[in-house]
Formats: sequence, structure tokens, C-alpha cells
Amino acid sequence: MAKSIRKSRAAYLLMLPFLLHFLFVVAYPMFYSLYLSLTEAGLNTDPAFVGLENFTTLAQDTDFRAALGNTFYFAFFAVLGETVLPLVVALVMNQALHGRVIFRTAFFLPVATSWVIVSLMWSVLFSRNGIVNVGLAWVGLSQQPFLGDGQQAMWIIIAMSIWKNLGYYMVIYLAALQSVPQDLVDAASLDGAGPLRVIWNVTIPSIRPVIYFVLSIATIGSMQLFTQPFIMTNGGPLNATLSIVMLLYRKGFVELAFGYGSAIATVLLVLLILLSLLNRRLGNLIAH
Amino acid sequence: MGRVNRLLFYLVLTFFALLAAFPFYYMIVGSFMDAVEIYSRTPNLWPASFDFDAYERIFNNVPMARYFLNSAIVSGGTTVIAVLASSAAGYCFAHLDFIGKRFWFALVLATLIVPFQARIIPLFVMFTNYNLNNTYAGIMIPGLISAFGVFMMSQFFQSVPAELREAAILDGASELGVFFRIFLPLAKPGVATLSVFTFISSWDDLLWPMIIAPNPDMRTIQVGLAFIRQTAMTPDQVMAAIVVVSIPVIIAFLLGQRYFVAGITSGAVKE
Repeated sequence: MAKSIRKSRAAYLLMLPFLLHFLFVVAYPMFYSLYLSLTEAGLNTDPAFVGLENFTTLAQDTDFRAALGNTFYFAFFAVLGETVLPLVVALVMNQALHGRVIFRTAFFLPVATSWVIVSLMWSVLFSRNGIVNVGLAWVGLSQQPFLGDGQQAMWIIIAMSIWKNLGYYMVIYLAALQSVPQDLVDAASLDGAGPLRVIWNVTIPSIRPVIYFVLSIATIGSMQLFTQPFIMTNGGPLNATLSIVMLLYRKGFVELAFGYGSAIATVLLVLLILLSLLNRRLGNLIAH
Repeated sequence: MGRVNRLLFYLVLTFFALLAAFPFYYMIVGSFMDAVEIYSRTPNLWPASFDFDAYERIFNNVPMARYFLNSAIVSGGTTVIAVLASSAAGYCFAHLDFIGKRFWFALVLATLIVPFQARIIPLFVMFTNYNLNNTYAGIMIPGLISAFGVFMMSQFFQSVPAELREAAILDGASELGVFFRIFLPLAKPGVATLSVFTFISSWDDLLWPMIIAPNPDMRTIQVGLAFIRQTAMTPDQVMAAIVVVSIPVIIAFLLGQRYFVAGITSGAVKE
């Protein structure tokens, strides 16, 4: 017992920075945020309790509805692309090929670059007079509004996000593919299964937990969409690319409506918890 | 693997690799072009002459050096503190029995899914009350320790045999001495991985630094770039700014690739 107390003392001493940080920068603000979401508060006004008013206002808010819809739309397609495409590339990269280092470096360039920079890059490429439109005209196709059109802007943001994350998730899949037992693959091949059958019946089932992991972190990341529309479209045109976090930023830090902004933060938190639970269920379902 | 298959694989990979690399290539060549070349009717993929005008303007109009300095201070400081504190906490979870251990570890795991945005407004209010706006401390504090880092280091320390600690204690070492003199030096690969990871996520952060330190003198690279189009009016200048900012990072990244890969995969793939 004396030993355990001695160890506890040492442990708490070592954990002190972590605990202080956790209490003051993680736990307290979390609860403070929940409280603020039930108030009306500003930079120079003390929070005034308003009950669930912020949430009933949110439910009527057309901007919020647009942000919610756009974020789910973005997340659905981005997560689909980020789960499937890197797996395809990793399966190909896992073969004994020459020049793997060169390919891997190419896929890593977007991973090494920040979201701000890739967003600026794609804005330049897809601007009205940018190289993509010049190329389209040059091969005889009609020029496109791209970021000036809601639907196209959203799809450019989706494509860019998949493009940026491809190398990241590829690396995860590659590590998983290394651990697929080679004798299973060989046995299936000997039984006359073609390479696609082997992939479908042997490789994919044995890396299921990793596919589920990628699905989970891609979902969490996508629901927090902010930098891409902030840089590329500022949420426009006509709210077509407005995301939940962009609206949170606008309400909280442009309009300084801390209560209303915190209500948006609470909704985001609840959504992420629900999606994590859903993903876990899905993971269990897939595993059995 | 048949010859046809092999060819198909190379085609697929080359296609994706070109797609991944083309924007970077275009930023470099585009930064040397003038507006006439960029907007011409035939796509130009090589500058008629290397024109450094855009670079001159960027360096004259945008305080790039100051942005770099701010980012280096913030990311460097964050990395040093985060790695030390996360290692210490991770070590405790992996090797010490202490009162409340399960409770704290459950909290670490729970906070893994709480998004930073869910507490960004209260943090702003608190930091404003403490006059931390436009200070390095204000930018750094939220990112100093992450649940991810603590979790990663505890996983890492679990692979170090517990007998080392017992032997050292028998030899009269203190608990703190065991951590600092034996376990931390043994954790070099884990420390390197977490360092690269922390540095990159701190370097790439936009939302928080933009909110807490909007003052032009305190802008980090990302914040400065987010507002670059206020000063860089033409696409060649934007591209020049992108090139200047990206090149050192990409070089550093490629050198530290091994640790980055280890960091990405540490959460996903267990032996």
C-alpha cells in the first residue's frame, strides 16, 4: 500500500502537465460550451440564460439547415472516396513494382502540404481563367464556372479533399496489407482463384478492421470541414458550400454571438458522437 | 503477375501519381509566368522566360520572414512541450499503477472524439479574459497536449519491458529518475514520430491561430496565406507564395517521411 501511494505520487507528478491541460483547456471549456449554448452571450455582455432558445432558433435557421445538408453531402462522398480510392492504390502499390519510391513521393506531396496551401492551389487551377478552363477550351470543350457554381464548387472541394488525403490513407492500407498472411493468398491462388477473387475473398476480409478505422477517422475529419470552403468559396455561392464549422466561425467570431455559436458547437459534438456510435455498430456488423 | 497486368498497374499508378503531382508542377512553372502567359488561349506548361517578378513582389509586400518566424516559434515550442508532457503521461499509463488510472485513461480515450471546435468559443472567451490574444502562448496552449499523443506514447511505452523499471528501482533509482534516465531515452523512435506529427499539425493549423492572433505581426504562415489574396493580386504571385512556403516543408517532410508513416499507422495497425 505504501508502495502504491509512492508510485501514485510519482505518477501524478509526471502527469501534472497533462492533468492541468486536460482540466483547464479540455474539460472545463467543454462544459462551459454546453452552458454557453443555453445562454445569450457576447464579448462585453455577461451570459444570460435563455434555455433552449438557441436550439429552437437553429432549427428554423435556413443558413444552419444549408450548412448541415452541405456538410453531410460533403462527408458522404468524401468519406466514400477516401475509404475506397486509397485502398485501390495501395493494392496496386503492394505489388513488386519498380519505382515505388517515386510513386509514393508523388502521393505524399499533397499530404505534406497544408489545407490552406492546397486550397489556394486548387483555387488558382480552377479559377475562371485558370489552366483547367484554358485546357477545356483548347480541346474544344466549353468553359465552366467551377467555383462560381454551387454544385461544381462542392464537387471541386470533395475531389480536392480526396486528392489531399489519398497518400495518407494509402500508407495506412499499405501497412495493413503487409500483415495479410501470404500463405492464405497463396492457398487461394493454388485453388484457382484469380487475382481479383483473391483480393475480394482473402485480402479485404483480413484488413476489415483497418477499413473500418479509415472510415471512422475520415468521417470525423470530414464533418469538421472548414478550411477548404473558407479559402476557396467563403461558403458560397449562395451558401452552397457553407459548412457547420464555417457557420460556427461566422456566428462565434464574426458576429460574436457566443451563445448561438456554442449551440452550433453542441450540435456538432452530438453529431460526431452519434456517428462514432454508428460507425462502431457498422464495424461490429462488418466484423461478424 | 502477367505482363499485361504489370503494364496495367504501371498505367494506373502513373495516372494517379501525375494527378497528385501536377498541381505542384504547375505552381512552380506558373510562378515564373506573367499574366499574359497564364491566361493565354493555349495552355502553357513551361514559362517562355523565367520571370522572378512575382517573387520580388511577394517578398516586398508580404512579411514572409515574420510569418515563418511566428510559425517556427509556435510549432517548435508546441512540439517540445507536447512531446515531453505526452511521454510523461504515456509512461505513467503504461508502467505505473496509480490511484485513478482507469478513470483518467477512459477520459483520454473519450476526448479522442471530441472535436476542438466544440470548445473553441469558450477557449476564446477565457483567453481573451487572460489577455492572451495576439501572443505566442495564446496560439500554443490549446495544442500543447493531445489525447492522441498521450495514447500513442502509452502504446509505445508498453513495448518497453517493465523489468527495466523494476531493476532500476532495486538499484535505488527514483521513479522520476527511471522515466527521465531510462525510459525517455529508450523512446527515441516514438518521440521522433510524435514530434513530426505534432509539428506538422501545429504548422498546418488555421482556425485557432486566426481567431486568437489576427494581428498582422502575429500571423502564422497559414493565417498569412489565408489572407494572401488581399496583397497578392495576380495568380503568379499567389503561386510564388505557395512555392516559397511549400518547398522547405516538403523537403523536411520527405526527410522525416519514415517517422510520419510510423505515426499515421501507429493508431491503425497493431502487431
